[in-house]
Amino acid sequence: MSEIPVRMPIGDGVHFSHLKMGRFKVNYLAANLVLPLTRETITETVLVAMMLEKSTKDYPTYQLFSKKLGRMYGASAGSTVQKIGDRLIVTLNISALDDSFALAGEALLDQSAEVLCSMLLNPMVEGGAFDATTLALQRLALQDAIEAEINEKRRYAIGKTVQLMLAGEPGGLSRLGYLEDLETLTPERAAKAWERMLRTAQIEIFQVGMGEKDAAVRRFERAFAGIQRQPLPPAETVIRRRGGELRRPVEHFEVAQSKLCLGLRTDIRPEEPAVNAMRMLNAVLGGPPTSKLFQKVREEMGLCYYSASQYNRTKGILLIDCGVAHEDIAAAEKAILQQVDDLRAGAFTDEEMEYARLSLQNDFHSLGESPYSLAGYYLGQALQGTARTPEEECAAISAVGREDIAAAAARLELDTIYLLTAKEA
Amino acid sequence: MEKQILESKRLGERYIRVAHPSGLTILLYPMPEFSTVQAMFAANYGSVDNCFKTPDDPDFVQVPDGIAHFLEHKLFESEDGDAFTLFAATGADANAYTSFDKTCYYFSCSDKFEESLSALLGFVQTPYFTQETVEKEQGIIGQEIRMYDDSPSWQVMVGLLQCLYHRNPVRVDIAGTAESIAQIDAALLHRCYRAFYNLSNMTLAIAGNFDPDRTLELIESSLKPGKPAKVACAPYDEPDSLASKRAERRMEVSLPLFYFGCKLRPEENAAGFLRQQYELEILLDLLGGSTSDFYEEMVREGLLNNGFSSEVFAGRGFLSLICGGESRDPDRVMNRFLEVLAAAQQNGLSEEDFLSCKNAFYGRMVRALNNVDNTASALLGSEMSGLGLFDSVELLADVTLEGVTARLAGLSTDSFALSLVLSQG
Repeated sequence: MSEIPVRMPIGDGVHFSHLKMGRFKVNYLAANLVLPLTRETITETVLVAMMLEKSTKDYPTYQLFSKKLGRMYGASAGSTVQKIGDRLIVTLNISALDDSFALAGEALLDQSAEVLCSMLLNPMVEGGAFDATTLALQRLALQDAIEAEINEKRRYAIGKTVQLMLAGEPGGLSRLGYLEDLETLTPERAAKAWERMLRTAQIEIFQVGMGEKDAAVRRFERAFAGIQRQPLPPAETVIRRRGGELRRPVEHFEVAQSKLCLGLRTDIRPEEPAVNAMRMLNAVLGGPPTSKLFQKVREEMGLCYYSASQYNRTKGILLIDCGVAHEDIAAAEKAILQQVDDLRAGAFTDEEMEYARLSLQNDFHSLGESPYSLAGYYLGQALQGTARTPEEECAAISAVGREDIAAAAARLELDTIYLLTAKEA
Repeated sequence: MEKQILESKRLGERYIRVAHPSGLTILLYPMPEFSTVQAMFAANYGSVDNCFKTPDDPDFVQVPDGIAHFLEHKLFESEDGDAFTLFAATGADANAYTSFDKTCYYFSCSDKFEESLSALLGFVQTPYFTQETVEKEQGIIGQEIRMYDDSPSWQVMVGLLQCLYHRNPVRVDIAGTAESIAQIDAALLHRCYRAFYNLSNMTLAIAGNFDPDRTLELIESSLKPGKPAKVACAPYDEPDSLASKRAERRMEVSLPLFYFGCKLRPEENAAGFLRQQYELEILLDLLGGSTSDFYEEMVREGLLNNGFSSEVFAGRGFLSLICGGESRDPDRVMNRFLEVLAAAQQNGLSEEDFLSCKNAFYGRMVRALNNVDNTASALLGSEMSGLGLFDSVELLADVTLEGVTARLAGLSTDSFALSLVLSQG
């Protein structure tokens, strides 16, 4: 039995959703800024997000900010930036023990709301510029982070495949931004970026946990009442098949194992019922260990340790990846493509479908087990303009039949096969 | 069958501990407000147990590196098929891991818990290995090893362990090497299984939404008790000195990755060992954590970013302090840390900082019991370390500044080693 968040407007383009849940010993607060994904703004947005989690005018150094969190019984706070469809979501969050566990009656929830407001609305901006020292350090940290993307090859390969597949589209932008933008990001420019974000974002605030919403709502209402905003309507995401020749990019690194990624595109939009058929398709193909990729490519053929698929409904892409010995690349590609063809031809058993269904339903039932995953799920609903519960999604998945999966498979197009392999001898 | 109800007044929580006649320890932690259950069935057997004898052996037997991990993979297979198929039929999400000192099989589900539990208890107690299945797994695990060969964050850790330890088997990679696993056969797997997968050497921990009485009945009817085995692990002489002061590896990374640390002698008894770990964890937090002057200074100099972490690395027969991350000058970071350590040994630690740190630690521990999976894991981990979950929380409450100061006094700045992963250059 799922709780449904109460979502209410508390300012122009600002919504507050509250999920009161007694089973969590914490209160989790997240402020999500929904922004358009553009080449001009991505790097500065990522940099601003990094600045906002380090210090605020109320806690002007990271050390002071950390000490405040420490005094709140080891609360944790930070920021993330993610791409959802053709939108960029900057999330500032904080999580702290509920007041009932504080040993001296401290009002931890109110303090959490105060810290989050401070992070978003009271950063280290003075005279139209961010603090220069901190900005220089974060710019360097962002440079390091962009350059370090090659460190973990599996994640790098997947990210690169998406970028190449979606080249020219907002969704294809690099999630951390671009090195060449960094030198232009002065303290003034970063401050302007923050002002732009605050002024134009659609803002979705979530509170999940034991506590009541009054303290947080009061603080945020008051804070937003004081500022001028022109929230932009959210960008429409383009979801399409490219309809061109298969792309086969290759990159060479010093690696012991090659990473192969296959990117497929569909034109199924996130609001369509066919999304559930795609979820089933993805699970049959490369979800649980009973899936085709795991059973055939790993277990039967022994070709790889991991071979899995992931479906991103917000951008209409299905990604298959595996780590494989250099000498087995061709065999792995052939085996993977065979599994995709089998799906298209309806060559999967009722048993495989049932296993996929049960696995998906378990995933949905597990969403309610952590405040973080619940908040993420309902953010996704808010972005789509729907308010379905995980139970409703489960019921829809129960209704997916073999023909639906075949129909979804027919709307899939193989777009890119990316290979990361060893340097030529 | 000895049944205890263990309670924490501080947390308002309770769980049941059962000492089964077979020697198996069963821990049942009902969390009725949640929707899922996680069950974990673990053997006190890991990669460090590579030389042992049972009463039937005339002498100690050295087994190939990586065999505990190999055994974990193989246990999923039975004559009738794969254990994953059993879980697929219930919708449970099942997995396993092998660490330095334990092997754990677990699942999480939102429905059909009893069927999933039967499946778990069944397959772990039913070994089935043939030469054919062993050979196939060598291919899969070979790819897993190569995946880790390409992971700089794993390699820098292995490098440090090899610097710290001369002979302690914790210096050996958990998965072994392609050469070592090539020596594994069905007979060796059976031998290891018989020695270590004995109920008297195992623990079953369950947390979440389940009926403890019915579950206990089900467990009882599913256990296959045998004779409690007495396994002795070969003693080894590990001198206090470092095996090496420094290790360097070249891989495709941007900034250098580093780990530095020292090894310590674990206290003899379980409570003493746990207190030692808590005191060291608080000490590390005070010296180099996010609230420390050291960290603030290093960030300001552009020498550390938010990837820096420190931990107490502890398990059966080993204890080390480890700090690491990325830096353009790891030597400077380590040297500065050692200066800070020496200064603290001279000048003492701040009482106020200590209390704040301890409170934060307590807060993080309570927050971890906020969901089913973390609770099951914490329940299992504490039991296998020799102290119950709630006793562990109480022990933390008893940690004093004097205790932490004594740990600080026991450290020596010239017992630290440094492991690096540098770019190809």
